[in-house]
Amino acid sequence: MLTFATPWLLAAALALPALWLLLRITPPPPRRFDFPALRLLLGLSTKNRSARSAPLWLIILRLTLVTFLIVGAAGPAWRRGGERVDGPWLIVVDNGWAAGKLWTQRRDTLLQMIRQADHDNQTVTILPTAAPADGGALALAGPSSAADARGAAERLVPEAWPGDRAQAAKLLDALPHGRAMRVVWLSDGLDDDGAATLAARLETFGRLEVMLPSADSLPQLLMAPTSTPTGTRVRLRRFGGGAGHSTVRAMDEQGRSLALIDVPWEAGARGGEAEADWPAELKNRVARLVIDGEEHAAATELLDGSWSRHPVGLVDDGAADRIQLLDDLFYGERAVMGFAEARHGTIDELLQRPLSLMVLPDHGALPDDQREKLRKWVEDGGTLVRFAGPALAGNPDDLLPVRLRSNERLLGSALSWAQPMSVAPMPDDSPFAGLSIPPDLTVSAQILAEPDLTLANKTWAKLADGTPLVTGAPLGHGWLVLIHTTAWPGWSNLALSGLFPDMLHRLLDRSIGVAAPQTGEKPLPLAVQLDGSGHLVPPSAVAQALPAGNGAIIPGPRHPPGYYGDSSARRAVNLAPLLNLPKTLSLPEGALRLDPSRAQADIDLGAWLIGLALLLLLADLALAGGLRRAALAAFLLLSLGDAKAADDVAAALDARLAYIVTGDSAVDETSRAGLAALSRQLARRTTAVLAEPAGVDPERDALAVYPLIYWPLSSRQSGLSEKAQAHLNDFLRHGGMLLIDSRDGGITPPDRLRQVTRGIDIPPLALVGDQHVLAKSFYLLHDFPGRLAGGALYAEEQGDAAHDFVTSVLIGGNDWAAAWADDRQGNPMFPVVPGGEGQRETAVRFGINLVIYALTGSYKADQVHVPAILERMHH
Amino acid sequence: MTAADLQSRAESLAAGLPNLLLRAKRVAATVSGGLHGRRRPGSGEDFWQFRQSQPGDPLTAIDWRQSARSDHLYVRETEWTIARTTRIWADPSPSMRWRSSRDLETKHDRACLLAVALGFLLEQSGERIGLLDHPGPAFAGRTAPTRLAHALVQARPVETFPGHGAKARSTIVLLSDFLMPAETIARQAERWAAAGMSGHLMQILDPAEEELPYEGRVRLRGLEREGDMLLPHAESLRGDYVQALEAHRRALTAIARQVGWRFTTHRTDKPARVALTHLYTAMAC
Repeated sequence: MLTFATPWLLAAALALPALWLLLRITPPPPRRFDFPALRLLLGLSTKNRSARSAPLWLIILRLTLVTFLIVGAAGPAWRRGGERVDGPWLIVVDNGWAAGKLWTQRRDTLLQMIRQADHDNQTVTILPTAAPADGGALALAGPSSAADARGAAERLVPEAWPGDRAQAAKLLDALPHGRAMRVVWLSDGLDDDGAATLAARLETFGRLEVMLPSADSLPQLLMAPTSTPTGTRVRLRRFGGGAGHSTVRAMDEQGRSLALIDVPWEAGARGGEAEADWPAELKNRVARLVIDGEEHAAATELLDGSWSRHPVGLVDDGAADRIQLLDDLFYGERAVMGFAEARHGTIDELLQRPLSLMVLPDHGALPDDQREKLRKWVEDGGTLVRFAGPALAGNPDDLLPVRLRSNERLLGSALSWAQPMSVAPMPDDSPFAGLSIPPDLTVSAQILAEPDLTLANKTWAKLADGTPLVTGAPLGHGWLVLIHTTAWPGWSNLALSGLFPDMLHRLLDRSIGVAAPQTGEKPLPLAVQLDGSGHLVPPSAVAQALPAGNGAIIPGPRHPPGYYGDSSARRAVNLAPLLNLPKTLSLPEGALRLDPSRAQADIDLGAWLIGLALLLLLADLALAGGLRRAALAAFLLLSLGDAKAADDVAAALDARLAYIVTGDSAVDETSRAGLAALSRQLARRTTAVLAEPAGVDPERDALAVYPLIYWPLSSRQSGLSEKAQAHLNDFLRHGGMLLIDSRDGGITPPDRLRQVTRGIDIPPLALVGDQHVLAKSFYLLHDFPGRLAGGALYAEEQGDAAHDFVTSVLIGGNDWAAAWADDRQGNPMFPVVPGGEGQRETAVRFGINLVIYALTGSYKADQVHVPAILERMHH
Repeated sequence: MTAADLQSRAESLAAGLPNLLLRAKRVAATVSGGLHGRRRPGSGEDFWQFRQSQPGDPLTAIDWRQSARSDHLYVRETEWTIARTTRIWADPSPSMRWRSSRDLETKHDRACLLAVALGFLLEQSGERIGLLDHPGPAFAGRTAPTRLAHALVQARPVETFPGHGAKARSTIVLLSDFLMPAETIARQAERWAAAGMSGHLMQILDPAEEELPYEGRVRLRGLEREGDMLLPHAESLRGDYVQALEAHRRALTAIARQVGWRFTTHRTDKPARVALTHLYTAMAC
């Protein structure tokens, strides 16, 4: 179906017959030539030379040209899909958690519809179904013009909580029933209580069209993992789809990938699980699990202590006469305090609840049943740490890593030859590798192990003479560990030294964690929250603290999923377990299914027609005015199109700084003003004279002409397109320099940085210290503040030799451009904190060093040797 | 076209023509000038006779080898030769600096080329060459064609015949499109002929000037303030035009015959070699 944006323009076609007549009676203008032999012609008569009219084909050519222009200007479009209701648009957009997956497609479809409404000159009403993150109530956006609706649509983001369709249906009451409307529901494909109500309500406004994602593109959910003796079992849920597999990525606190777990799907299966077989050390580092390729909140499982806690049991024999500083348990308890939960009790009491590690001080013979219980617990994955003492020396049992000699060895006593022994450095293959030994640590008594071939392998720490201090051996899935001296300062001052808690922590790290729910004892404030794409972001202002106790949490703007509490008590709130697993949404009765994959776009014919008219114009010029004029016209047309190339050329004519345009006008203006002010300072203080800075779009612009590109991160920025990534990588590979500024003093989570800079080849980075060339390329600097101070600055660890070891990437967060920016009269635009104007001067000096570094490379690296050279000259 | 350019093109053109022909003709027609022995002693290069030295002869004039054969001192005398002077006129008027198509050269360029090529040939024969519109003595020697080329390139566009004439008995070569009224040409030719000059007229035309190839509605503009003219239907005038051109040429031929000169035509789309051969043979007669 052909439609026109401005049909009245077609009336201009009425003038065509007049044009025909005009062209018929007017002879074409004479072509002009110089002719030297004119004198010979002058004598000749010109009778019988009637004016020739324009040839017919030329008239037809020109009329076609004008027709194309008129029709093209009227904005024709070919609309696919047959009959449509022509009326105002009502678009319901599901933006709950499930919409996070394929959100870009959803938003593109939405923008496409708004374009169509714009073309038809219709108003648009947008109704999101999830409560906005700012804590406000759900609201209708519109009815408004298509231009306003586009703004609203671009601001729309998926949220990390479920939508409330029933509430959305209520909002529709406010919408007047008038003309038939085009009603579209961009659904997330999941059913809930409100879906039927909403569909029924929508159908009162007009024929309902529903976009339903296919079964394969419905979101997958990551449920809480469970611990197994040898690893972890991850569980996934989905809503149908074919056979295949998903990948679960395990990440640590910093967002680094630790492991990938492949979860196979059977066709039609709704649940899938897989077991990750990993050592306890690795498992203890896992902070987060994410399903790859699922960009929504329910595909991220945040882990807190409760997933893998390490409660420590201290075996208490119940003796009443305890003297604090001589007590067996006192030191062990103090060592784990604040690090793990410690429990007292007899072996039977302790084994009633899950334990990671049990500390068994010097103990007499264990009854057989207790020993069997202990053995079973260790075989199931427990770690038993025993201490020697007179009792153990008397009757060793079999729950020991090594066979013991039955007598203790005394050093430094009247009958001994040897002095109290110090501890040898920790072997590299021991769990304690790398721990430093306090110099005053001595052992005056120990229990010796029977020498055998495996003793060396089992020795985790030894004395200076090579006799074991700590031995350990596996039993089943667990470990038996023996410390060959006492848990109190009787035989050794080990328990008094700082080494003791360190050793216990190492043992705890190796122990298998225990899943145990955490009890809420106090309200926990939100620390980090998940956004609708499943990324960790700083907490929103409206989020409320998690109440004490284990009450049910309703996910929403007040309680978004994320981490609550501080480092002492942290609790993860995940979305997936809080959802009552919905079913898939079936097409409401009487509704049309809108296929999201098939483009609904109108085909815009106007541009084609006008292009065709221009081609005809060129042909006309070529025929009437000679090829040269046509070529000139073609050149003009082409040069109109190639104005961008002219920009690139202009940029190349002068050296200038550049910044990446983020689309956030405030940030871009600050970047521009900052770099402009820095360029002026450079001209004043150095011989580097730079032209006005340029804003660049890495996707389109030629970057190679800029020595330094400043990239402020804005909160609205998501990752770069592939083309932009390729351009930036090319720029970095060929000696360009990129300063990435997170503008927040460096608190941006690495996750977010990684998301924004995805696809850019960032080499290994290292902290920039005051020995770096940057600190001495012009001024001598010790730190690099901007508007903020204290954020670290990172540069390439080892520069590329091909680029003279000049770093290609600098990453920091001190918001430098804001410190440099002034209003051209020299008045700064932003205050700098905390240092005031002194800090601003340092910031400017850093800017100058940076530009000089970018322009001159690392030749100032020689400055490092100046003290040495001066000293040599002094001698 | 720069002078160097012109010279190199003219050299290659002239290299193809044998100058023997001219020399042979010249020997046969010594009277009509050229580098011609006057059959009596004088300045020249060819040996004429030995004579006994007389008091007053400079010592350097004595031919010692001949004197050694006898008791007398002999002086070697050479034959007296004179060089004929040829003056060329390459019409520099605006109408000559025109071409109908980018593929052709302008008539003036062609005229200059022919002038320099002729200069080469004449120089090889030891003759003096000059420009009719260039004051001062004619050029002679190896550098003559070069100086000729420089003078040609520097010529200013002038619409009239050159005012100062050549010396009597010299030869003049007029290279022009001769599109001025026939009476003007006749008057000038008579004046030169009366001064005893022999001459040659070569009309150089662009093919468009011979054929009037325009079609449809065209406006033609003259280059020498003739005004312009609108031809509503150019192709219908073509026959008349060709006849007018023929008539003009007949008038020119008549003028040439009257004063005993020769008249030839040349088109810029034809090779310059053809025109040069024409000129050459015409001058040798």
